[in-house]
This record gives sequence, C-alpha cells and structure tokens, in this order.
Amino acid sequence: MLSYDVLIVGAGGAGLMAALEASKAKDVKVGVLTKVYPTRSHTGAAQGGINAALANFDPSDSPEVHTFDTVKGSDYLGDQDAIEFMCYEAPKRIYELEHLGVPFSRLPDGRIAQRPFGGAGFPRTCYAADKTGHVILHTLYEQCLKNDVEFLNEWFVTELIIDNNEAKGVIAIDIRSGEVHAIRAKAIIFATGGYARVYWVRNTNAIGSTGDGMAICYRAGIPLKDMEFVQFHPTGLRSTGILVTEGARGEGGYLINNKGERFMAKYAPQKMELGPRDLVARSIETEILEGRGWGEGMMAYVHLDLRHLGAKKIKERLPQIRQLCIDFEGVDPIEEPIPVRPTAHYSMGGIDVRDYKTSMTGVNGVFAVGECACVSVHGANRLGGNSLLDLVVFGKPAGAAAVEYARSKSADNFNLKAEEDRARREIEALLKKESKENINNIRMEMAQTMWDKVGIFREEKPMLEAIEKIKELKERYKLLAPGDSGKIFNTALVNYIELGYLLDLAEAIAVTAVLRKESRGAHARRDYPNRDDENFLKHSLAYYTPEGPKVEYSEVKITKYQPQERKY
Amino acid sequence: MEKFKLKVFRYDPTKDDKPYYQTYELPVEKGMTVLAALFKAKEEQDPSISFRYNCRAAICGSCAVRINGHATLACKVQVKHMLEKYNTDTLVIEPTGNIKPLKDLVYDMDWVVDKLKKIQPWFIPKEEPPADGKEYRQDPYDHHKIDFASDCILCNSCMSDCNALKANKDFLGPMVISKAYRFIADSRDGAKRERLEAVLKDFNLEWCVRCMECTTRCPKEVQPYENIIRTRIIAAEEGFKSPGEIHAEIFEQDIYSRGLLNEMLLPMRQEGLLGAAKRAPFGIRMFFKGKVNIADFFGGHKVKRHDEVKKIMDKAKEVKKNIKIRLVSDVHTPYEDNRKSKQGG
Amino acid sequence: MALKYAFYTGCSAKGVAPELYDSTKLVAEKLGMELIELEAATCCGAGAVQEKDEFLSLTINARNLALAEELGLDMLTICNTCTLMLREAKFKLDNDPELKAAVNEVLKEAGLEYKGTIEVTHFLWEVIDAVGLDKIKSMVVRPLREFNIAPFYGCHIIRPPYLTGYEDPDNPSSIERLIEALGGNPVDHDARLACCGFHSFWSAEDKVTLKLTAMDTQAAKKQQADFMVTPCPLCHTQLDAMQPEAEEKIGVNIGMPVLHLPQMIGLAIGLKPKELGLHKHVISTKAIVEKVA
Repeated sequence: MLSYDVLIVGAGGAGLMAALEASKAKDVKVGVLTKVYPTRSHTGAAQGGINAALANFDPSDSPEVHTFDTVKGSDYLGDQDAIEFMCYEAPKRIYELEHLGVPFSRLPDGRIAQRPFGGAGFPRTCYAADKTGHVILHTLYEQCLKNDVEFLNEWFVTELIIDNNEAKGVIAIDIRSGEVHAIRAKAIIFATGGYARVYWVRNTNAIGSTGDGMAICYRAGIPLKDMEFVQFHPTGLRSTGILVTEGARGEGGYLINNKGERFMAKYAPQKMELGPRDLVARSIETEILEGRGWGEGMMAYVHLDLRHLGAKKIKERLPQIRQLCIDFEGVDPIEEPIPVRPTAHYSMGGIDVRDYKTSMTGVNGVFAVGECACVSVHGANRLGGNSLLDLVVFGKPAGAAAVEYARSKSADNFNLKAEEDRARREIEALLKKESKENINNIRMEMAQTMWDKVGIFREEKPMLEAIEKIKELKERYKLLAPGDSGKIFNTALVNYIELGYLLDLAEAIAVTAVLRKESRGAHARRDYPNRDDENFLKHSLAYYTPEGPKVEYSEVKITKYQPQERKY
Repeated sequence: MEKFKLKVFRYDPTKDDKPYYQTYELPVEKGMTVLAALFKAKEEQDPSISFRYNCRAAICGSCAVRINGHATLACKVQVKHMLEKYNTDTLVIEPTGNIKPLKDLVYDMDWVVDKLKKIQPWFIPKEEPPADGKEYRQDPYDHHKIDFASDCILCNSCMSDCNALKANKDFLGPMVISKAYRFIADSRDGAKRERLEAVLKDFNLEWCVRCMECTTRCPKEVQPYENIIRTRIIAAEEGFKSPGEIHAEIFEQDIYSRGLLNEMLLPMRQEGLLGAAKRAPFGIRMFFKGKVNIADFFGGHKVKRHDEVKKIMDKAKEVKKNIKIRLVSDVHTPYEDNRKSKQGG
Repeated sequence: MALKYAFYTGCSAKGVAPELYDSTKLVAEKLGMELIELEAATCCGAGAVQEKDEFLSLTINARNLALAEELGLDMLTICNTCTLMLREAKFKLDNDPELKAAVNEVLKEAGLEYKGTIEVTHFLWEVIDAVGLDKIKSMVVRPLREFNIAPFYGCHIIRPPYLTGYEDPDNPSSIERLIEALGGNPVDHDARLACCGFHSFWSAEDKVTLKLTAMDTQAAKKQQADFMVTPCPLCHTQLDAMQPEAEEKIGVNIGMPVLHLPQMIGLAIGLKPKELGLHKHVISTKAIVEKVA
C-alpha cells in the first residue's frame, strides 16, 4: 500500500508551495497527488498579479495599508489576525518566489515592478506581464522537480478517511491505470482549488475546478465555511465563460442591449461602462433578466461593442483581447460585437481552517490551503492580486506544520485495506451501472438553477426553490451512471464523481445563502439590501448530513479595524 | 444547422490491437472550439473518448492534439475556422505526433518530463540572495530576453510536429531546448555552462533542422526556434565549438572575402581533409553533372562593389557592442506585404 | 504592365544549382518578367551568420535590400532561405526604429542607407500574382497531363507566418494551383510540407538529415509521383544530390527525380529539357525527358 508521512492533494500554487516546504524535511516522506499534471492547475490562469507591499513603486505603501485594504475589501468578514499575517508575510514570500526564479517584470533599476489594482491604496501588485500565475506555478513545479518531490500525476481522490478525529489516508483512483488505491498518510493537505464550476459554463474557472477537496472533506465531517460568497465577474465570453478583462471597456468599449441602447447610462450615468465590477455585473444581469439581452436562459448575453474604435485602434491597443475573441468565441471584434455576460469567478468559501498559522482544520492531520480553504482572509469579497498571495503565504507554513504533525505521529495499524476493498467494489459497481440519463443534463440543470436562483441577485423564494431542485437532482444523480466501463483514462468516471461533489457544494451554497439575511460583499440579497453587522458579522459553517447541510456560525476575528460602511 | 464530422483517433491498448478512427457527426455551432466539439461528442454520443483538458483558455497546456495533421490546443481553435482553413467537412483529431499515445488522444507526458530533466529545468542561482533579503536585481532588458521563453505551457505542440524529432527521438526537442534557454539566458542563473553542455551533447541542439514548425505551432509566444538559435549564439559566445559554429564562421569569412559562399571548398573547410575525402563520391558526381564551378576551387569571383561589404562588416562589429536588439513580440500574425505586383502597377 | 524586379540569385544558383539560375532566366523572359540582377549582392547569411551574429546578419541584408532600393524595385528571390532571411531583416528593421538607426549608422560607412521602401518576394509568388495563372495557362504548349507531380514547398517559404504570410502554412495551395495551370496532376503526399533536413546536414547528417531526405522522397514515391517539384535550391540539393546517400542510409532504392519550379514551368511552356538543365540532376530525369519529347 502506498504510504506517506505528508500527502498533498492538488498541485496548484498552494499545493506546490506546501510540497516544496515539506520536502525540505529529509526524514519525512512527502507525496503530491493531482488529478492533472501539476502545470495544468488553475493557478496558471491568474493573469494580473500578486499583492505585496514591497513599496518598490511607491515608498509610502506598507503591509499595514495592505491589511486595511484587504479588511475593507472583505466587507469586514475577513479575520483580521489572519489578514494581518498574510499582508506582513507577503513581501517575504514574493522575495522567496523571486529567489526561486520567478521572472517578475522589472523596474528600470532592476527591482520587481508593481502596478495598481482594484481596491488597493497603492500600486502594490507584482506581476510578470499577463502571466503571473503561470510563471509562479511553473517555477514552483520546477523547484519541486529539483527537490525530487514524488508526484502521483493524474490520480483522483474520492474519499478522505478519518478515524477518531484523526487523518488516516485517502482513497484515490489512478486515472492512468484505473486502479483504486488506499493511500496511507499521517498528514493530508488539501489544495484542490475552487468550486465556481457549480455554475458550469457561466464561470471563468478551469473545467476541473469542481471543488473536489471541499466536497471530500465536507462528506468526511469537516465543515465548509462562508460558502455563500461567490465572486462574479461582469464580462465572460458567451460560449466558454472565459474572462474578457476590463481593458476592453477601459479603451472605450460600449455595453449594448438588444434595443441598441448603451444601458449603463441608466445605472452609472457618470462612469458608464467604467463603473465598479459588481455594479456592471448587476447591470448586465438586469438587462438580461428583463429581456433586453440575446439568447435564452444560461446562454443569454449582451454585447460588448468595440467596432466604433476602428480596426487600427483595436489592433494596436487591444490585440490580445481581439485574439481571445477570435480564438475562443469565433468573433472578430473589428467586425462584430463581443457576446458577454456575467460569470462566476472565485470561491471565497471553503474548508474551515481553524488555525491560520498551520492551516489545520478541526480534524487532526487534515490541512487545507488555497482557494479550497477558507481561513478567512477574503471574507465576503476577494481583492484582485490577493488570491495568488493566499496560495503562497498559507501554502508554505502548512507544509511545515504538516511535517511537524507527521513527525509527532507514530505508524498506526488502522485497517485501511478494508476501506480500499470497499471503495474498489463501489467503483466496480459504478462501472457496471447503466442509466438513460447523461451527466451533462444534470450538470446543466444544476448550473442553471444556481445561476438563476443563487447567482448575482438573491432572494428567499427562488433560493428555497433552488434547494428543492438540487435535492431532486441529487436523487436523479443516484440513478446516473458514468457511461464508460473502460479501465484506463476513464474520464467519464471522473466527471461523474465530480458532478456528485458539485451537487453537494451547490446545496451548501444555497442553504447558507438563504440563511444569510443581509447583503455583504459578493452576497447581494434583493430582500435584504443592507449589511447587518448585528446579526451576520459571522462566518457560516455548513456541516454535512445525509438530509442536507446543517448550518452553524463562528465569530469573525476583529483586531484593529471596526466595521465601517464599505465605499470606494 | 450545418453539420461536420469529427473523426477521432481511438486506441485503448487494453482492448484494441491497433488504433482506429471513429467519426461523430456534430452541428457547426458559432463559438464552438474543437475542445467543445470533443466534449459534445463525449457527452452526447460516446462517453468513452479520452482526452486531456483543464483550463479551456490556452494556458494549462493539456489539450494539444493534431487537427488535420497539425498540432495545436483544441481549446484555442474554432471548429468553423478549421473547416474553412482546410476547406473540408471533416476534422481529423489525432494525438500529438512524436510522442507515444496512451489512450485515444492522451499521450505519454512522462517521456517529455524525463527529457526536460536532462537540462535541469529549474532555477539555480548564480549567487546568494542579497543580504537584505530582497530580490536579485535584473535589468529590464535581461528580463525581456526570457520573457517570451517563460510563456511555455509545456503543451508539446512543438514537440509533436518537430521534424528533427520525427527523424530521431533522441533529439531533445524544441520545448526542452527552449526551456534550457529560459534559464541559460536568465542573468540570475548560475548553471549556464552545465545546461549548454547538456544541450550540446553530441551537438544535440544542432540536430534542429531549422524548419520553424515549433515557432509556427506554439500556441503562446515562446518562439522555440528562436530560442534554439539564441542558445546557439550564447554557446558560441561561451566558446563552444560545434559544426554549426564552424559553418557560421565559413559563411562569415566568405561574405567578407568574396560576398557569396564558396560551396566548392565548403566540405574541406567544414570537416578538414578527411571529411572532404568522405565527400569525394558526392563531389565527383556533382562534377560529372556539370554542377561544379572549377574556378571556385581557386577562390572564384567576388561580387561587385565588394569593398562596401568589408567596410560594413568591420563597422558592424563595432556598433554591435552598443545595441540591445529587442525580441520580436509577435510571431503569429501573418506578414502582410505590399509588393508592387499587388498594387496593380 | 511591365514586370520588373531586382533579381537576387543567392549562392546556390551561382554555385551547385546552375540549372536553377539558367531555367529561371529563360522562364522569366518568356513570362515577361524582367530581372535586373543584383550583381553586388552578397550571401544572405543562410541562417548560419544569423546564428552567430544577429546584428551582422541584419546589416549585411540591409545592404542587400538597399541595393534593390537603389533600383526602386521589389527584390525577387529563387531560394526559400534567402527569402526568409531577407524578409526577417526587413521585418526587424521596419519594426524597430532604434535598430534601423544603428544599422544605418553602419551602412553609412559605405554610403548606403536602408529605407524600407521595397518588398522581398519569391519567384513562385510573382508567377502566380503578377504573371497570373490564366496567362500561364494560355502559354502552355506541352501540358504536363501525364505527370503526377509531388509539390515540396520547403519550410522557409511557408513558415514562420510572421515572415512569410503568403499563404496558410498548414494548408498552402500555390504550387498545386500552378501544377494544375500547367496541366499536371498534383499529388498529395505526407511530406508536402515537411523538411528536407538541409540545415542540420553538418551536425546531424546520419542522425537526422538523411533520414528526412529518405522519408520525403519515399512519401512522394508512395503516391506514385513521377517527380517532385520545389521552389528552393537547398531542398533541391538535399532531395536530389543527396538522395543516393539517403538511399544508402536506409538501404532502399528510391530514385525520385526532383525539379526546380522554373524547370517545371519551362517544360510546359515549350522550353527544351536540355536548356532547362534537366541533365544536371543527380537523380535521372530521363523518364521525364522522354515523356515530354
């Protein structure tokens, strides 16, 4: 049986940072398990940059200002001790990344360049052109290769095994061979990314961002925190959800409805298309809901029209956006308007981390880092440039803490073999199963339900309907089969299991969203339009039960900054 | 709605003796990428098709396949554009070339990672970090030199269509040499010589046939071919002697001394007397076919106005020291020329 | 309209491929293309100088381009690699004012200046765009209808697109259209867009080059081609003159004749095989000569 002292599940920025740190301990056996090759992880898609108050660009910046910006950005739902830790660690981690070889863009004097980003008081975002996440991901992977970190590439975890509130191991499928394995591990770090795929095509995330680690931990009894908070981006491409950056509007693009109107005149007569993200997203969604978009249901959209800028300006100023539209949407913005609509972007919620210094959960030996975790440093709304930071700042100490924890545990004889045999029988039964329904129908119904009823605008009644609908889909899912009985590279089986994860997470999102009777950050209730600190300045915790989530609350850590109205 | 055929390479070594093709008929939808078409076929017609994917936004590098014979990311191309490009109703989807397929469109990535390890694809600092714990300083021009090379997403499109790899699987391949360049050219890196030795073992880098497939195929802006050449230049600067370097010297000398290459004397200068002797059958053959200009054995003629050439070459060596040549920033937009024959007069 | 070009011969046409030089001159004249030979032009560097000293290669080619600018004519080439190297220099100089200024500082030594006023073109492109396929068709006196002809584009006329751009590098059709205009049958084969291996000859003759040469010529043979045709003398040297070495390497007799582009046109418009230099090929063209007789 495969056995590790520290097993890391997921090989994006957070997982690799943890792996790199853990692999420094030569007396401890470390393994990294990932369902894709490490460099395929979604971290690579982060373009903009990573925040740290290096004060390279503006000497007045400081970790303290970064802390305040983040607390305010979180709409005061972030834990201030953790945020302070993150912002003070940030410069050290950036320098560490640079020392590992990350090719950051440079100032003329050779120091790391920084640029301004939304919600930040100073130009604080370090970057490498438009591929910051990509170069960080690849650099970390390269350093792991250098340190001989052991990878289980294209392995897929299906269960977390806990006994007596202590990690014992996981059940996983080797996708390449199709074999089901139990893997013994004293410490397990989950770093599996976000859950934006509950909205399926209406999201900017990778296809594999199915919240695996969250669902696995949730089913094993670890609560999910603040699941109701999902960040939306105003402009994703119609067909794929791929993000069209603010640049297109910044250069003078118009948002147009099916009446041919520049509708932002109604919502933000001064700033028009350059209004803040959430306002633009809500405006577009309103146009669509009131029938002034094109297309139906999940596929409805408005136009982002650049044609009046002319071919010359588009080619010179927006070459990447133009290429993006041609490649992914088949639309040349010189000739046609770009079909766009709001799209889910980031999961603030995640596995409940109890100690930000170690990223340990309530279960001994189980850790969570990155987007799959909720510390919480992003609270109700994440600032741009803080997600990559979250990965490296918390990934590193989690790796060290997992090593310490593993060292403190001697080998035990928990009967993992029995779990393996059971899991294998279950998978074999699944492969033999047949059904008339296909995965995509259920997945699309889930996404449509979540988008329409637990999306940008939220209200009690539709959300209650959504909960009922998800329950119905979960019943139908029980009858569903993967559709492929093959052994090797059976990605239909993987997709099937992922859908099960998404359904559980969708339910947790909907239930916590109904219960949060206020509007805060990304959670916008039509029936409760104001923030309600008296009743809801608290984290939601969703516990798994077979009947649906049971929700409790925990307190928000407030140190220096008392909640104020969030205005920019 | 208009339909098209998606003809997919199928192979399951646990079931099939040899690969076969399976065709799925699908509607041509606006905005549909080839990856979306593969998903549609999988979700609606045949869940057993295996292919890799993740970001569907051309950054993770998972979904490189060959479409009608040419490698690219399935997520980055429109079905409609491909049908127009090949003037066809059928898209043939095959796994990347030069790499062993494991199942259907899934290829053996481990083979590639093993190759990568030969050039130590990780940063090895030249010196300890600054005492204040801050960043290594790097001149923006030095950063510029590795900016495009660090775009690489390890998608293997270039490896798939590499002509040198097609002939010899021991060639490191464009992606691997390009990765080596990313570190060799990094002003902060301290393992330049080891890496150069690795890529020049048996002159491996110079097996490159300069066919430009890699740069053409690359879905990003990595410019693998250019990186191979940049690596060769650095190797020459570092004093590595290779057949390519000798070849370049001969060209430079001939341009300096007469303007055109003296092809007749090339073999002897390239490989010495022994080498030239090896080429004797070839030379005799060429002689009898009337392809040999005897005068060239005695130096041959010079181009007209040759004095200009010498002046220019001498001066160029001097000016070169002060110029930082910027890398081309876009190697994909087709060149639009303005030839007189196109201007209608 | 008078078709007039600054003619850049390149080294091969003046060296190992005299038949390319001769056939180009003859065919061009028949097609009404006036070629003013740039007798002062030097070698383009052929990629070799570019791999040693990029700036030097740019200045040499800036001079070559300036020679054509003196005539006010587009520069016509008959070699893929020359075309690419000259276009590369033009592209880099035209898109980088600082670099252009530095190069002009060098050219000034010889009283020259690079302005960027002319384009570099290839014989193939001009035959199609300037002469026109209709005119070619009307001039055909000996249609090549009994010939299966395997086009071999050669890398540097189609890739990389930012320097070539004449047609889609993945699915070009110019040579096929020309073959059809001449009454011949273009055959599709696996090596149509492949590489002959020429540029790694001195470093990897056995490891790579000859294997590719063998694969390419065998691919044409597999589709029952009577001959291959290429717009590049370097491909020609590799596929024709080195074919015996490739045969020896794989231990198979291939015997695939390879024609230069103007030779093929010449045969169809009534020029004699001898004046086109078909006898100068290493792989016998006898069967072709007999058929056209």
